[in-house]
Amino acid sequence: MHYKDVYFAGKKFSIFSNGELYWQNKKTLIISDLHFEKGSFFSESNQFIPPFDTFETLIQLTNFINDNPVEKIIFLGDLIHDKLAFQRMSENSKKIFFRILENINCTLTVGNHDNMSFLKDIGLNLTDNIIIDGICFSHFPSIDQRFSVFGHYHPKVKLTVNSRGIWTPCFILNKERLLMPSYGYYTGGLSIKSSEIQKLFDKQYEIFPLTKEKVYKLEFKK
Amino acid sequence: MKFKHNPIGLWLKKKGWVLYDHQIETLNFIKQGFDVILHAPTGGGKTIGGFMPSIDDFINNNYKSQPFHTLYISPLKALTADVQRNLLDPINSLSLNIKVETRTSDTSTYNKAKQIKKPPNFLMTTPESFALLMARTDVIDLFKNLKFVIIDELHTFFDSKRGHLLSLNLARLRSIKPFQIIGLSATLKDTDLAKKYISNIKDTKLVSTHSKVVPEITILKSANRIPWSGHSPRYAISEIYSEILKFKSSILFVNTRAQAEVLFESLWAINNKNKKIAIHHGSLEKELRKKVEKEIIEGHVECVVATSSLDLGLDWGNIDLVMQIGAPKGVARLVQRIGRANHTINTPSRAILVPTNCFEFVECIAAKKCVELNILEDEKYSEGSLDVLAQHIVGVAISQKFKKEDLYKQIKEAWPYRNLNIDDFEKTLSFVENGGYSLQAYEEYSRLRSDGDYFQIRDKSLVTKYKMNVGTIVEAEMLRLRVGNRYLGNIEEWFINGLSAGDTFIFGGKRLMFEKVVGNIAYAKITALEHKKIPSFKGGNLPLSTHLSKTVREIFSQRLEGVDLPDSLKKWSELQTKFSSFPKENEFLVETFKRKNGKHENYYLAAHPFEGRNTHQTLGFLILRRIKKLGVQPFGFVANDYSILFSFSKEIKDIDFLFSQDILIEDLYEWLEETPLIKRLFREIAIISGLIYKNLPGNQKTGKQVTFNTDLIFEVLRKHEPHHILLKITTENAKKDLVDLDRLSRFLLRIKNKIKINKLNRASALAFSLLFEYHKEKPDKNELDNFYLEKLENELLEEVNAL
Repeated sequence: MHYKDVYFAGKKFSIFSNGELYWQNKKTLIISDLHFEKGSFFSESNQFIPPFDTFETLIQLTNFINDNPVEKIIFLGDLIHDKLAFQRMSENSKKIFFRILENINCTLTVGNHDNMSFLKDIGLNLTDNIIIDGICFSHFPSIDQRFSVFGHYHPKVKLTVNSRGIWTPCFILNKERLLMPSYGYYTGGLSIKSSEIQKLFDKQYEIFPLTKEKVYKLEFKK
Repeated sequence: MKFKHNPIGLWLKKKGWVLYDHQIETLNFIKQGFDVILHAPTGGGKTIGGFMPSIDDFINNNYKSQPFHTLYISPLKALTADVQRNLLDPINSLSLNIKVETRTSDTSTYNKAKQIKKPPNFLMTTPESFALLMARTDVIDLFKNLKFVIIDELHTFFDSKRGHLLSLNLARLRSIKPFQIIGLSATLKDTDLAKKYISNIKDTKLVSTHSKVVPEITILKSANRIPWSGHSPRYAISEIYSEILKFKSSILFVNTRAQAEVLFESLWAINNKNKKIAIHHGSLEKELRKKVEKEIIEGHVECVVATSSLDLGLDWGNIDLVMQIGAPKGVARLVQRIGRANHTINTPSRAILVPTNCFEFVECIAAKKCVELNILEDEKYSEGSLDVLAQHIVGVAISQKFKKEDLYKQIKEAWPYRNLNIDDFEKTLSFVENGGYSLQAYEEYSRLRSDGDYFQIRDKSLVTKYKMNVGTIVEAEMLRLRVGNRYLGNIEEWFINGLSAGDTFIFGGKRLMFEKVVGNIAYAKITALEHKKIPSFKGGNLPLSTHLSKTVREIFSQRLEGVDLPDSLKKWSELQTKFSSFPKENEFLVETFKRKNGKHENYYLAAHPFEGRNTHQTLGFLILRRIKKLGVQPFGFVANDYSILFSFSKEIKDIDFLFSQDILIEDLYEWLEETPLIKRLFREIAIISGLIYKNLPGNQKTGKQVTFNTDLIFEVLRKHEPHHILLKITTENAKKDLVDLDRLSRFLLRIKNKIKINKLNRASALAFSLLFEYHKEKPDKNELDNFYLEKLENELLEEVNAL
């Protein structure tokens, strides 16, 4: 897997092309907005999307864990798409997910999609945020902490390749904020040009667009 | 039949018009119980002919109220209103008590409901609105009095998904209430297949009449040099303008919406006589389009610049001149367009063709020749697509419960689906039920419920979703364009995405400055600033027809001899003969040369198959793979309707290998696996089949239409369900539309052992236009300015003159 190292709040992190943020010194993996069972959610409105998204996401996660030492995982919120996600999830996916929960210390910083009553007692630490070495990890950007790593917005950016525009998910960061892309298979995204994202990152920031093969880097200054 | 006593005959006589033989013949066949195809040129009284059996039947039976007695189906919304207007004239003057109404997507919900309560006798509608009527639970009662179905512009339905949808609904309607069909068309070649489309089981009669007059076609010769490439008519703008001035009313047809915008603006820039010029294209807001149509009919507009939005049948009767700007692309298409300037069947239509580049000039000559000899293309017919079938099954289920075996039998009666096998039918049905995954993941959410023999819908929520998503035309994501408090029309989302606030562009003939996007509305304001960008509306380009391309090849094989060429083209032709050669008949010309591109030497290969853009695109991608296999680094290729130009780093020795027949077996399938084009196709199929809904109740406000990235669905499906029915449909569609596999393989067969290779010192005249386009592709398109192009053209000219 291709990755790029970045320094945030004085610590070294690695950005991986599938959307993982890896803190090697702490053997900690941070991923955001997995939206389990987003695909099958739409069966309620008679749209029968191929129900393989959760499985794909979990295979990707398993591969990462197999390739890198991981002792702790922080899910930055929106782990499940809706409260019935576990009911619809295939046995296969459940097996993989619960095996991860058994073997690795997992924390979920709760997001707006996460329904607490369905996430209790499955071996997952639930919290609003978690602060490690002065860095706050949470679903939404932190209001009171200086350094904040968060998700929620599913940032994407348009790259021009051979005069054709393609949208890719991306990381955005400045000195104090780091916004993560969504790790879920079917999740859409919000353009980094949107006002919601722009107001969080005015003046100067870096973007790390992700393609399947590679992490890129772009710098922005206003 | 004694037509003297026919009331319509009397009315026509009163008007000073004639009752044509073909009209009488149609009526007679209908009276004998046949279905009829009426094939008559534009201006030949086709519409009246089509409705005569209905009116005749109405009078003879002295009907007081006969709801939905006749159904008229047209591919164009505008046509329904136009035909309604033309019918009201005889109906009123004969004091007949026949109510005629239209029902299209433009009809308000209120009026639609009213129409069901108080139904008209004749209903004018489109395939989509017809499908919606067929999905009603009261469909059997609704059409119990139906006697005739008239299908206008019949030929447009043979090779399209709309035609598949229509045929399915006609087959179902037949099983509900027998009726007779009258198909109308001005351009038909393969009449046997047309008959089969009308009815797979019954014998259909053909009534055909030919115009005795040949259209008068001229090709505009400008004093200015015709550009080598591009599609801009600017070089001839003053000549176009002076032609417009000579006539009271004219239509200027263009091929793309972008061309319409450019031409419209260029004409107004020199419109010192204040001629009333309007613009009409499919992206413009409905009200604006209707206003223009009304103004043309009333004579307030003297000239209209139009795309295919005005192609078909609209009978304005007072158009004096038709101009075709840009290549005609097909003979039937040109005939259709020329037909707009026709009053009656016995006076010739007059048309002027304006080529926008050198190749198009030759294409215009070929088209003129074909029209004069009345050689039309064979229509294409396609096998019924299964995504349309999936949509249809939902419609059927909403309307009434059905037995699986009955439905299968009924579907096979629709001609495009005559070969449907039971396996594909069952897979499609299972897809409709719950997605058709082998894991049966969505069984409990199934759309359909089956109790024993019968299938029906599980709950009513499906009805709204079906109604909001019916149809087979999937457009790119569109945003509504708003200026001040008015809406101007729809504009592609990808185009708006490329704009930043303050960028200027042109739409509907107005110079606009982009402001912002809120929800699904793009805001802009009027500006006086020079515009930079024109929405290019992907997909407006039709490929050159097989038939026309053959004629173009013939003209080239005779080295353009005996053709009246303007001076700039004579020079072009001389250069080709002098430094390379024109391809002889059945010869496939390939030219190689090298050229300095900045600091580097680039090697080029120009191939001239004349097989149309689609085929060339596919061929281009395949050849590119082969060049790589030869260990040469390719830089890329460009293709137009006539040629393909490749650029690479080293000389290629084995050119025969590049074009050998087995490229279709080895490389085609590999390419299909990885091309982004197939994903675009999949998106269309996902939407038509109802895998995802483009419109959902409550979704319009957010502006997000398709909630899912269909590329991801495609990839995951390929990985986990490689035999899924949607993937099968995608491959079938790709072979036909993306690749035009038939045409490509016929080409490779045609050129076998007939490749003529000319090794040149520099670019040939035939290669100029592509070389030019190749360089146009390189800089960021948005930054492209005319200065760059002019500079390049001058550079090439100097090279030529230095010889």
